[in-house]
Amino acid sequence: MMENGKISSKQVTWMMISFLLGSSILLIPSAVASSAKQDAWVSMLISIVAGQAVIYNFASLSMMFPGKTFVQYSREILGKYLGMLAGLIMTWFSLHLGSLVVRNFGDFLSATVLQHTPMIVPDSIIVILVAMGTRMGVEVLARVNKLIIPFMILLILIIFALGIPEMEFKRILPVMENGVRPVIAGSLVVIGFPYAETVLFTMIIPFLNSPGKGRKALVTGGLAGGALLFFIVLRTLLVLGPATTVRLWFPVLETVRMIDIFNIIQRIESIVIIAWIFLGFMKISVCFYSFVLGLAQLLNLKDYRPLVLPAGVLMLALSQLVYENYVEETYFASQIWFPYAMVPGLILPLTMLAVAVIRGLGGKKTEK
Amino acid sequence: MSRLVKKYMRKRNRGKKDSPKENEKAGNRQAYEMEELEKMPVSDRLAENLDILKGVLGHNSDVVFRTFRIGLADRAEAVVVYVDGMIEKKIISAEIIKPLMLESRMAGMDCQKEQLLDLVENSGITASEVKSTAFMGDVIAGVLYGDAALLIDGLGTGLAIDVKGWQTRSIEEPPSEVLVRGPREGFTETLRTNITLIRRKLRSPDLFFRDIQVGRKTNTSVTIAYINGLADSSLVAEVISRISRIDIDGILESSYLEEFIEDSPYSPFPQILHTERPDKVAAALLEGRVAILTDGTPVALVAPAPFITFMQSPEDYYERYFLSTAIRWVRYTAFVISLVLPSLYIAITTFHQEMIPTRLLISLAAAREGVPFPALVEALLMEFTFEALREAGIRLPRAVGQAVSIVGALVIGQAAIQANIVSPLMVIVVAVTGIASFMNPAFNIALTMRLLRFPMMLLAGTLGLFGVMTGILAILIHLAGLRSFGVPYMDSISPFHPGDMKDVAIRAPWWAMDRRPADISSKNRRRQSSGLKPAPPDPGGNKG
Repeated sequence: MMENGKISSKQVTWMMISFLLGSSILLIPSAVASSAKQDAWVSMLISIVAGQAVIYNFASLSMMFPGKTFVQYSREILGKYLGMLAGLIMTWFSLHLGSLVVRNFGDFLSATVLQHTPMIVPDSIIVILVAMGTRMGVEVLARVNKLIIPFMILLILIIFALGIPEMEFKRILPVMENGVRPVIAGSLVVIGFPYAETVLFTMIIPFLNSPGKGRKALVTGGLAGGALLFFIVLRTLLVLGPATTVRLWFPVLETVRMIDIFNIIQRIESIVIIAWIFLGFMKISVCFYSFVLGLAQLLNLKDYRPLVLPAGVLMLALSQLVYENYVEETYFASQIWFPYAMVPGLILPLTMLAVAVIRGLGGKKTEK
Repeated sequence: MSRLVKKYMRKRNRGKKDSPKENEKAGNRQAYEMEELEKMPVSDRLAENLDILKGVLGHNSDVVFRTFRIGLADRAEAVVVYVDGMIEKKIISAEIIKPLMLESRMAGMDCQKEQLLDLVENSGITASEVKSTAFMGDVIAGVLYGDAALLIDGLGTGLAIDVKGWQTRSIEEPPSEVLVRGPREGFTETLRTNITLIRRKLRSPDLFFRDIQVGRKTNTSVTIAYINGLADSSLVAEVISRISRIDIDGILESSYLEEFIEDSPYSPFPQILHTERPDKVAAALLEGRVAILTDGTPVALVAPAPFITFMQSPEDYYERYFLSTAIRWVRYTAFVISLVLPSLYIAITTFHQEMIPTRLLISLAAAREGVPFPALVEALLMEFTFEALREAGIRLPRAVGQAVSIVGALVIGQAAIQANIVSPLMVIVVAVTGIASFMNPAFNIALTMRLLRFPMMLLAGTLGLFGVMTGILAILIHLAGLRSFGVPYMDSISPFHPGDMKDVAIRAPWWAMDRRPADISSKNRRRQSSGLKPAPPDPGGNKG
């Protein structure tokens, strides 16, 4: 057995929440508001519902093959070569996504707290931590996550509450000024980022101690994480208004910067940065774990641990090479990411689900 | 016993084979190998036995050979061998020599040689504990552990009579674990006393004590205590197998054992709880844990010990639960402070000045104006001084110790600030950190925090808050992967057990804490019947 650890369905739910919040917590408000403007919160509601469909889709596929990862059952469904290709796509996607998050991480820290430090320094530290956690197995990742996530959620709620004095409801009016189209466009962004990315959990739920609860755990996590994202977007809109939200790189940071209580608690945006370090760590860990495990299974290795060090170097190097500059990053994220992420996120699992049902594979029939 | 002696002798022989000449030289002093002795039967002839015993033990000034004639079987010659100082001389004279030498004669008992053993063992010696053995090895081991060996001419059997009695410390309150309310007794250096202290608290036939001998030279008795039915049998087996694995020349303190049996030897975090309090051990046994008592030290080990057990003091359970809950939270806060406060101070004053309120920033800047060092150097300097003072305070005699604290308070506190070497705020930070680290009920985890504080400060000085957070993250990853006898170290919190929160997040009143910790005692979790919450009597049967 490649991974001896077992995780509970609750741990998966919490991991899902961290994964959804991961890099989205800072980037989503401006990404959604760029097309949906003041209706970004409506987009969020739509995408939460649509996101559950994405999760439900790949979770159903995984439920048909309990105890097997995407890379393992893709060969069963599509045959040796096509299955290998599907596994390769998923493995590449996890590597690419992981690199992008590492890059976001470096960009963000260089722009805020570590302005004079080369980006490779914080990036390599976080990759070392991720590799350290991944080496210890999925069980440890789930436990670290459980140690941190309650504080993160508490922090989000506190920051929401502290922002109330700055909020004005007229900033999200008028509702649906430009019709439905921009709202849908905004929600598509969120379906691609972060919902389509959650497909990497097909590499994690095989290690559930009660495989029957996988889908429920993922959907619960998807809803809870989506709700938190919704509150973050709503709060940003109410505090800053759509125009400022779009213009800023990290609008959430700006809203926190505005918090000022009795002239004592002020400029606490560094705490948000800390939160982002934790959540980003979890997201990169899930990507990295999926990558090394997928690669080990593609290559038919007995253990994924020898791959951790080279894979860490690879992910770090890729994160430095993946963009030339921030403009390119924004362009890629807004224009290319949605169709790109949809291939492994929705199309591939849906196709495989259809093929599996037609070929009558899998231990358990899905409902419907 | 015998297995260990064998192991001991195997090792000895290996050493001897390499240097046969040395063996010859030492031959006079110790004519027999222990291996031979182990298998060597007690001879019929007393002279032969005596030769062997004198060869092995005779060169010791504290070993006494007392020869006499017993009043039985034609005045057979007998010898009592014991180590002076380890035995009660009165017992030897009154319970062994007197009945055999005089009273048997007066009672007119006499017998044939065949009945001699039965008569001596069952009608002669009046001491309470007598073991008969046919091998010389057991006789010698008995003598070295405070037994008196009785050998009689014509008998192929040796008798080991328990006459142990040596100077011991009386039962006192352990100075490192003082409580305001609660029992005032602590363990001593004598294993038997310690076992008694536990037995007196748990008068149940389910309380089991299992003995293992460890140490080739010290032959230290190690006792594993557990409650049968509460402690997982696999846990008990694991503890026993981990201790039996140890092959070392000597065990002088339970920390020797601790380092041999913990799960992750490279972790800075302690994975086994240690205590000198019998009540703490009894409470742990009632939760399904296993205690390890070592002869020669008052410190008992308790395993498995996840992180949260290091945060709990017995006093939490003896005081009212509201207060205990509040104190627990102060303790948790202090625990975090003792790890991160200096590093947070360094990070914020060096990298994130914007987080400091303006007025405080101004006064801070004014105070730091004359200080030539960066905050990191300042903090390292002060922390080092503090650690030095603390260490000096422990070592010095009490009278001089006060001088040290005066030097510390005046020189460090006052003069260093006036000389502009450190800022006043830094002194406050270091002092608060020091006090916070003393708040911990478990000394060993406070030591861990002291140690980890320094890398955290370096991280803070180089990378600011980001460095602090990566440090915390690294510690959390380590903690999440750590185990104590198979139980996850962060048990109750992650993996999360809602029921355990009654003894983690709060200290629930006793009538509400109806279950044992989930992962410690998985078989038998209920510790009391339900519905025990007290209420005032119903007045006259009226409802409302």
